[in-house]
Amino acid sequence: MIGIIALVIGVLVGLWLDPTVPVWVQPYLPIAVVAALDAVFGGIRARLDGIFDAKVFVISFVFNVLVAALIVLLGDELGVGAQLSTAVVVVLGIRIFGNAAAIRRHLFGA
Amino acid sequence: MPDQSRPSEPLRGLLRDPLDPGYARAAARRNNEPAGGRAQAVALLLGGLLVGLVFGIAAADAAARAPGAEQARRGLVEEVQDARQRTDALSAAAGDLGARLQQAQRQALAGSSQGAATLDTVRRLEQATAAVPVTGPGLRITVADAGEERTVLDRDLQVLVNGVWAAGAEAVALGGVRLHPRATVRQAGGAVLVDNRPVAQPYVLEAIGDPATLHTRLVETDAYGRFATFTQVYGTRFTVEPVQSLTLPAGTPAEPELAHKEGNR
Repeated sequence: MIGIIALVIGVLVGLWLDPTVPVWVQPYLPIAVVAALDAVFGGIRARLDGIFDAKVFVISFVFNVLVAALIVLLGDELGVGAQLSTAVVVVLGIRIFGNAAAIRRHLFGA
Repeated sequence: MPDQSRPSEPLRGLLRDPLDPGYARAAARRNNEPAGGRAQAVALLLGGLLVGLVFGIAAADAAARAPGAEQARRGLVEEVQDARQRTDALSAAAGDLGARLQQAQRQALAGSSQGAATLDTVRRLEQATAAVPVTGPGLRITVADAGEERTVLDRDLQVLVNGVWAAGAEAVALGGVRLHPRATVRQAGGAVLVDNRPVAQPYVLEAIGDPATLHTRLVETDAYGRFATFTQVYGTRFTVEPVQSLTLPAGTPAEPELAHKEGNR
């Protein structure tokens, strides 16, 4: 419950602040969003499995964002940034789908 | 022998169970008791805030950027379409006016012998200043770099153009752009500009004149020797072929800025 409230507050603060995102950060923003989605779905799934741990949630989220950004940064330097972005999105996308399916099974039993 | 059809271990793990193994390990450490306590609440609050911030900032950023880019794109497209329509209308008007001008000239001058001489002069001047399209036999000279490396520069094309004029060409076009007396061939960065219009490789120079004479006299010029050397040293493409009928478009001769007809001032 605290998590959902914090999430909503975070969204509102982000929208309200409306910070000017520096140009060099902009390519990593979509990656960060996908990593955040992955963390959220993973967290909900873990909660339903009864093994949720907030520390794991925070650490996995921060690390996923950092590693994803690092991979894309490295790719940009090597000239394959677009391909590596795709790779990151595919991997995180598979996880999001898998966790969403697990949540569905938990909630609807199907 | 390993089974090649199986996906590798991390990929299989990803497909089998997408949940971060960290959760299971943390639960095992707690002997499967549900996590609780103040640290958990703080971490959850922090995590929720962080994730929410990412969503909020991304949403705000997307909302701020998308309309601007879209508007700019639409504005540009509209401008391009407007400019194209205007160009079409103007060129149609220019053609129309040119035809009427010629007709008026003919009507005014055709009557007397003096008028006929003037008309003849006008025609020759129009041809010499590239004010009218011309058709006739001539040479087509094609020049192109062998590879990626740029070996043919603006000065080489200048030498070639001068050589063709020296060989007795009556009208010349480079890359489809008619050369009038004040036209230039120069380089701006990687692009070659002929009369300020960009021209791409291969550079095709068309010259109107008697093909045989033109060819014979061109061979004697510096330009021919220069390009023959280029062909040997850099593998530059350089072909000269006679063409029975070439049509060169009209150029855009500049209006005189300082010279005025007497009594016009």
